[in-house]
Amino acid sequence: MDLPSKEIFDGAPFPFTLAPHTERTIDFLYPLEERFLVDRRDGDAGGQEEFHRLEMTAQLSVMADNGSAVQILGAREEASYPRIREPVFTITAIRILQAELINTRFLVTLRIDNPNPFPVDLSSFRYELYGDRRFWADGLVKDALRVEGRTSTERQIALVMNFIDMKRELLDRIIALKSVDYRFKGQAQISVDMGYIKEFISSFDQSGEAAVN
Amino acid sequence: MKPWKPALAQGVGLFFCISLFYSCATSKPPTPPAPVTVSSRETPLLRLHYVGLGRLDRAVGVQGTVTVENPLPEALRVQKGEI
Repeated sequence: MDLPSKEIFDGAPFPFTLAPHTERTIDFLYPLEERFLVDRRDGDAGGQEEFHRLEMTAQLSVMADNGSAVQILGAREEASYPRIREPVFTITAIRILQAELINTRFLVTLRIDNPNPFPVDLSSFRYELYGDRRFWADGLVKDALRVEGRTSTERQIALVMNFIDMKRELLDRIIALKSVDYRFKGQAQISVDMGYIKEFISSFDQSGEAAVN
Repeated sequence: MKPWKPALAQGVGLFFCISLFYSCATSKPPTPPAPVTVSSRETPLLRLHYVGLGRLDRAVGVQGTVTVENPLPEALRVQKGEI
């Protein structure tokens, strides 16, 4: 990534005088937008690297106290920080608990893959589920759920659907235990224990084919 | 005056002249103090140190330090800095 130069800020603003045979250390923080902190699925995944690598350059303008000869000083340093990837949500199965035209109760199995080498916690997530391009149900899950690093976990969500304004064919297909094209979208609140970032919102919009059983 | 005296006087005079000339030719005039030349190795040094990712107020970003060192016998003015 190539980021624009920014003036360093600290408790003692520039300019300042540096006495003979002394040195001064200045703290700085170069702000990074969230897109550089969390790898979004639709963005550049950046391969399998576990760290973002940075090459930093500092430049200071220095002149003699009598006002002569401005000199630009430069220093370089390499840096790295851990990549944080969004979890991946996939519906693996849809199970019919009660098949009726007015109220059909489903149990949707949601798999959450954590591609990170460290655990992530889902504080809550809000979702919308579409089947065969039609809205089926929405909801909010508030139970905390931890997914350990580089593992996946499954979560079952109970749904109540009403097929009264949908094609009979869809209900028949589901009752006949066939697969269904789904779209699962929403937002999850993800917590990580990184110190500098506590939590972030992960939007997901997954489509696929889920078995109905 | 004896006839050999002028020749002796001339010889002694020539000797002093030669000695003076030799002395002037080989002695060095007092040298004024040379101006102090600042070589590139003596200019201020700059070091950049990466600490990690940090938080300041609401901003999250790359945190580190920049150290500027003045090895010169005169004060320096640091105008501005950029990362």
